[in-house]
Amino acid sequence: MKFSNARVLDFGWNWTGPMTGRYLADLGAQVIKIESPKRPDPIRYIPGKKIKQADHGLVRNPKFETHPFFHNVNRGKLGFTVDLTKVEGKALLEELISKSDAIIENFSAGVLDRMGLSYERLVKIKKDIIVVSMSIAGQKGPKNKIKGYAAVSTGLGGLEANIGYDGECTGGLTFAYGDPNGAMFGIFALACAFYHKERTGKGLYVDLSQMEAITSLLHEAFWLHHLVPGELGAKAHRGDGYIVNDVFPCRGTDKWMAISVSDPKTLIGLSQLIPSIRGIPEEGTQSFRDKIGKAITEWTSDRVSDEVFELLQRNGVPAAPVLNVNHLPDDPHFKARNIAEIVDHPLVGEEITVNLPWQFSGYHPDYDRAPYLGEHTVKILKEILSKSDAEIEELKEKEII
Amino acid sequence: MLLKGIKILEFGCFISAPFASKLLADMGADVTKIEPSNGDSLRGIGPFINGPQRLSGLFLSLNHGKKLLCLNVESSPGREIFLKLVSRSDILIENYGESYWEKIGLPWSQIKMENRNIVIVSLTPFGNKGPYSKYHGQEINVNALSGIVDCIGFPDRKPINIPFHQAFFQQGLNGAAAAVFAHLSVMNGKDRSAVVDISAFDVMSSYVTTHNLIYSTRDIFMKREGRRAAGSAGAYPFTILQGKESPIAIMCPAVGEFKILTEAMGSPEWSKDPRYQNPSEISRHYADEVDAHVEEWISKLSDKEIEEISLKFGIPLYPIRNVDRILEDEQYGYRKYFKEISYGGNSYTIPGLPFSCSDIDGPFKQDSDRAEAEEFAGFYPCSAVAELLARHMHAGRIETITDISIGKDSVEILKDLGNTESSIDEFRRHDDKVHP
Repeated sequence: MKFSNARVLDFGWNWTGPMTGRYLADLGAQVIKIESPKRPDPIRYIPGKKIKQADHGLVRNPKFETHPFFHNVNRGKLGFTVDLTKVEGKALLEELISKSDAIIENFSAGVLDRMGLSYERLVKIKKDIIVVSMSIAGQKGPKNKIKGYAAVSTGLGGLEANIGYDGECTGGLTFAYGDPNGAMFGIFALACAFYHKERTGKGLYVDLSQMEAITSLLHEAFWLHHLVPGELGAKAHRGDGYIVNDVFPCRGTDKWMAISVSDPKTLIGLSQLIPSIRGIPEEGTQSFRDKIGKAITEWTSDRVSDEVFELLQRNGVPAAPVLNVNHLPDDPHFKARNIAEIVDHPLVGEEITVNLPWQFSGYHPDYDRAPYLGEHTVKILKEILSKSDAEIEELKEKEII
Repeated sequence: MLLKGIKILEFGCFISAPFASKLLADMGADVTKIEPSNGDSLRGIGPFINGPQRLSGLFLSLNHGKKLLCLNVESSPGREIFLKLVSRSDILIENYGESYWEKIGLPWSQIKMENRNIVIVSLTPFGNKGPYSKYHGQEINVNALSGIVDCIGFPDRKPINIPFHQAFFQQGLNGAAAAVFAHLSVMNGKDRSAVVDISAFDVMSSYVTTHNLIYSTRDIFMKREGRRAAGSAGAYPFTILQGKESPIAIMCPAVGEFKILTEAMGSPEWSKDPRYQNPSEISRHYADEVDAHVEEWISKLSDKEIEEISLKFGIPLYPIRNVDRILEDEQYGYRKYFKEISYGGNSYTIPGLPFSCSDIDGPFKQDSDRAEAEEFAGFYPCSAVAELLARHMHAGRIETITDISIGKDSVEILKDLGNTESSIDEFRRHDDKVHP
């Protein structure tokens, strides 16, 4: 079972672009990671794990092949290197484009144009090509030159300013939400583009802005801005719609339980465990919420997290422990959902790989490891571009590939 | 309209399923939303707009542009109508979970029998399978369990959640994308029908687990460290520092970027300290010291100066801002990002889609509201026209909502399914609402 038969050229680097290509590979697309032989994806330069096994002949430079993060966001792709500063290199790439369905890129705005690969040019090479550009601020406009990473898109997009304790903004940079969010909007745009092509036979140019992709998730912030002046900004928890929605300390150091109560029925479930809640006059005010919070804290503080989790869930109260991401692999639900797996990488050994979080009935993605730099260049030249051995030798000699 | 022709049936409440079908509606899909007679729970959650009726702003955001049907799927005529709608739909998006459908006597096997090409997208907090699948979960519980909450806040204080129901919005986005891929696969005959089970927990924990590979490979424990990303993620700086006007997000993970930052600062004496030559070493041992130096510089700079420096040197260094400033941002305005909704005599700007589309014939209209707005402006007195046009320039799209009540399209939908006036009257018998 495959959800895409497309051939996709992935010019992505760092996280957002490559992640988009990775998700497409999970869905069955043939994704070709295009890199410059001299200036590959910056993530390749980050020192990763120690190399355990000897080079088996496919690896040009082992130091580029060590990072589990790189392995993750490039899983299941083919690797192709070509030097685009050379005329023959560009010609070769154009030949490959003419045999492809889609292009993904997350360079700074205008870079693709400067490479001579504007959408106008691309449709001349392949009339029905789909192109998805994903820069921070969009390709055109007064601030299109904004350069950045996740922290920039979440900061400019309006999320970070609303993360923190009451009146004390901490932001949430550790999470780096901007990248996977940009990738998922990229996948949504690609899904729409593939459907459009199926229906009309036409390609599409998509100009995505990563900072806008954050803003598109902030409908609530917009309504607060319009209707409740002064409510925006850092707030440890927001009251609207909830009686309780906070984390509470459990026995031990830094153990917390997230508890949420949004209706009277759940409050009754909670009061069966914490009888003192019943005595609190039901006002729906902040002071009512504070008193309930205090009663919950007293109850959770001298109980261990596992017990609190079980008791609350058994009484119909939405609850979950605050887990650290490093402990997730031990969580029974995380395991059962097959969110991540341990795989054996031929160079660095065992590492975690994270799956696309969509469970299709009867479908498990079949994937190969991330490609070594340019690993499949020759295969692609032979099988897709029908180049002869002599032609390939010449390209190698001229350092085009 | 890119998704023209796709028929979506939404049986959803609150955020995840409604946001998924809203995204699909924005791209041109035809969405019918089913609500029980007491309505989507989101209708009761503020802040509210005081218009003809008290209306939840978020409900308006997520549900305008859908056909609204009031239906009790737990009753026998309701079930019959539901199955008729299934037979005419391509995708069912729901967030009640598989066990709910079994409980009410509408198991997915029966839904698939009614329409062998149906795609079912199921969006629940913890998914339909696995030990916690029956557990009760709100958004904060999902983010707590997925490892995100532990990453936010100061190390010596309680962890906090990220705001505005991100897990459910993110789940909706995933659901929208998965729905289209699954539908394409059915269209191409690769698959007869498809069920997609997407849990908010899977989505958020997959994101955070992926990013943790950066931290864990560098032996950094991914945990809350206040304004700084845990251990600067191994490459200093990755933090928020206080500028003259706003907090400034600053992140330089690529080789050489920290050096460029110190050049932007005029290569001060401290930056020549041999201890500060390697961003990875700084992240391990000297982050506080160097923060103090950098903040001394940043604290004297206005937001405008920060932006100029960022553009001139090509380094990621930008003010953190809120919705008020985003609304005035010329880049968003240029891209006609916002959507304008008019209800009860007032207009409200809400987020639009973060991408524009064009094909070889030119820019693509994501919806036809713009043309309507121009027409609509023609009926207004002069000053109002000017104001509306100004807004229109700003927003790109405007939509006037007069009615978004429960079951507003019930009669039309029921007639379309072949029900007669008298049978509709039968549904209407108990009160003036039509809900079979």
